[in-house]
Amino acid sequence: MNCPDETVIELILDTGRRTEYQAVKCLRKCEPQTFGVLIRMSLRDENERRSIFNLALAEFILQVRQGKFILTGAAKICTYVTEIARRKWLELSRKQKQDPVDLPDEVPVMPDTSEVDEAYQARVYAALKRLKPSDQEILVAFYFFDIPLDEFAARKKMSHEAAKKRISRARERLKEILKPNNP
Amino acid sequence: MSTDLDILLQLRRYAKGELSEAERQAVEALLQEQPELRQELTLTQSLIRATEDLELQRLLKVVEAVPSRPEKPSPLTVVWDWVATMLYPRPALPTLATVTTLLLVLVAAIWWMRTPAVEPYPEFIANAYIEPVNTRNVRGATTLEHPVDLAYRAFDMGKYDETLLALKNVPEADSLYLDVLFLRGHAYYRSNRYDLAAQSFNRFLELYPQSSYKKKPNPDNANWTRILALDKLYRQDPSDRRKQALLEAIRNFMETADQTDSYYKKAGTLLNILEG
Repeated sequence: MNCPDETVIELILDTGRRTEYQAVKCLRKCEPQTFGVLIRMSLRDENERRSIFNLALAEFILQVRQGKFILTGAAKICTYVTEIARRKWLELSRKQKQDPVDLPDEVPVMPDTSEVDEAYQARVYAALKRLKPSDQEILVAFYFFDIPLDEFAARKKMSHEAAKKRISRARERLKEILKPNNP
Repeated sequence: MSTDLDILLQLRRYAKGELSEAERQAVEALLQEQPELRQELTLTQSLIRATEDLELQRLLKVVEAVPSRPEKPSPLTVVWDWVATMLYPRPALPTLATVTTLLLVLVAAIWWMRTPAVEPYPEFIANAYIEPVNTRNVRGATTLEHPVDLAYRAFDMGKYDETLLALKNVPEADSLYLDVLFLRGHAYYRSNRYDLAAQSFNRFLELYPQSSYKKKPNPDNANWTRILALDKLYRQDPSDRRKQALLEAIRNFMETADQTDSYYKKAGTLLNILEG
């Protein structure tokens, strides 16, 4: 499969299932480079190498879709993916050594993060997972990818009103699950 | 309670730190006025993180579903991986096309090195001519000077017309007549009269086997100088006829000449040059 970097980016930005699969297939070309670096960083366990690489690929796709990765002559995809994997392994190995080091946080910056209780955060995540895929989809589009509702509606071939109703219902269902008396 | 979409949007942008100072202050004022919006903000903050985690997990499943590279890599990959481990950033495995091209270049280089280079013609011809050797010493000549001796002396001084003049009246019956033809050929050659030089050497080579005289000039030198004369004629008029005459002369010479002497080697070199 011929996978120049430009094609990979096009495949990632086209959010269809089939193109997503093809994009990942292309990104597998980075495996030897990333594995080579991880081996030199003393990560001998092949399974662990593979899971870090998979995580790096998933995160790379997210970053491309968020517009955080711009393809330039200097920014080669495999070098970037390898860098993500390298940082992940550093983070993991430092955690394992119980040596907390301030690493750049890849989670979006939120002004009042400290106010969000970790237990509450876990409950929200669990509640989100219990929602229907269509509800999850619109919440991910709105809260994570910042996709405007009219654009989401156009993609899904629905009216703006219908999209508005869907997000409103998804939030209501989520709140319902989050109620204290709900198991 | 259904929250207005505009407020949701502002809360999301507030949570992500995307608002201007004025917008941020407006949202904070609203949060003061409507304390129930604080819950919405907390939920928004949680949803931003939760949706990212959810999307990451979904993508991870997609990634894991795509088969990895084969467990048993090819020998080329093993060697390359071993070499590339020492390099950073790691170069990609060369494609089959690259490997094939490199092999072809290598084979071409070996072939080129094994093939003897053809000497360029100008360098060859500059050192091709070999001076005639005066036969006076081998003849055991007396003090009486033969016209041939006078001719050799004039030739050594570069006076080719005088050489030819000295040889003009020597009869064919003279015992040194082969020397006459030999030296005449050289004199014509040195004075750029190649046709006459070739004729003179032809005659020399005709008479040479018939002569019983022991101290005859070197026939290989005569033959070789004749070839050089034919070569000069071919360079002046590069026709097929001239070339064929030259090639034939070289081949005939190489069949009869001593393979160990320098004339034979020079003839071989000239043949290579002519045949490219």
